[in-house]
Amino acid sequence: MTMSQGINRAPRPSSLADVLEVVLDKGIVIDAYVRVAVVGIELLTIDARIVIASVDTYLRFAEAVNRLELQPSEQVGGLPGLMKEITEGGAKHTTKGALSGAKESAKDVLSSLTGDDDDDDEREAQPRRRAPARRGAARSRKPKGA
Amino acid sequence: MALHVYGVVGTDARVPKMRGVGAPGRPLKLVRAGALAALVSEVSDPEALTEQDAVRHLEVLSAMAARNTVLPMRFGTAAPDAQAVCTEVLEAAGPELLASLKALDGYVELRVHLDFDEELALREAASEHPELLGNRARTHGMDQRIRLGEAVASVLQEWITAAGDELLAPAIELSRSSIRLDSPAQHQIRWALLVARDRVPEVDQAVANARLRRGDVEIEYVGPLPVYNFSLDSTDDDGSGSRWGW
Repeated sequence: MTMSQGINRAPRPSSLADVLEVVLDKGIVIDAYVRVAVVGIELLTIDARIVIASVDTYLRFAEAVNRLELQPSEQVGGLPGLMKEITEGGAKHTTKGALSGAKESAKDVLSSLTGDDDDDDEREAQPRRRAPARRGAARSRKPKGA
Repeated sequence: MALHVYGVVGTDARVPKMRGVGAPGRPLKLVRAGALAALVSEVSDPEALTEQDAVRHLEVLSAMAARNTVLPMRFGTAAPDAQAVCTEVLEAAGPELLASLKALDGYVELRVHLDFDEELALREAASEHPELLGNRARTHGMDQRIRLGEAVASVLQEWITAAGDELLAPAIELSRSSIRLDSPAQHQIRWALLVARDRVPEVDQAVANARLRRGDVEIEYVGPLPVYNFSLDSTDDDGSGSRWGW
């Protein structure tokens, strides 16, 4: 049975890091003693992939959640169109995947829209950034046979 | 010439007309032994593998998996010649390979990667945990901020995991087995699904629906892949979800 490829589904991940994550360290391994017939190749392109939530991350989370208070939920309900702009403006100024210590908060963006903030021109839109190719908790499962 | 080995299939497998790893890549071939076959292609230097070769290796396996059950070989496996492939791969592990092929017959692996907007997720998670707000005045010290951040990180993780589970519930329901994989970052969730080949269109639909339900989550949907993350034996009804290899 053939499987048609929708636009929905791709035959492989788009990023190299993800392709490597699929193929490296997995699959059938021939036992080490058969080395004469099979050449195994060690690829050390990706190091131990343990994500450690660093203190830096925690500090940024603390700052981010404190900034949330500057935009109480009552304001969100009142002005849907304006809030949409604010949300988009906020998103433009932060780097996705890494809560930056950016000065921009919803409040700042609101100020800029109402003309209170004169520093608008200096801000650059940050491009969306994918998280670096680091893995989650260390794998505890290992293939047998090396 | 040396042979790069992609994986093991049944002897009646249909091989796509594409080139293998290397520059230039050479045509794909089957080395047969009894009911089994190994998918190979000639390479001039089996040790000079590049990242592009890794990509091509997966593309080959994906094309094979669309039509055949494939047991993937560890990337980088090569043999000096066809005889070595027969003796050291197909004959050496013949019974196990056959049993695995049989158990996985008709199944493919699909991958779904969810990428949440961290800021939006944080907003939603915090709204469900109002105790995390209102701490501004009390968190001047480094210690207090770290503890607050830790609490936030934990809440965020729970929220993202639950949101991912909910988004993918229909797709998971359609799968014989599923496993949440390690992810490179907190705002990303990765699932591997073991799906019967003829149910893939339904999973396609479930993922398409998920994309519509949450426009703020980026969904990368990949497949068909050979089965990397699941092993079944013929007596196993629900899929053990353990990793492959011996």
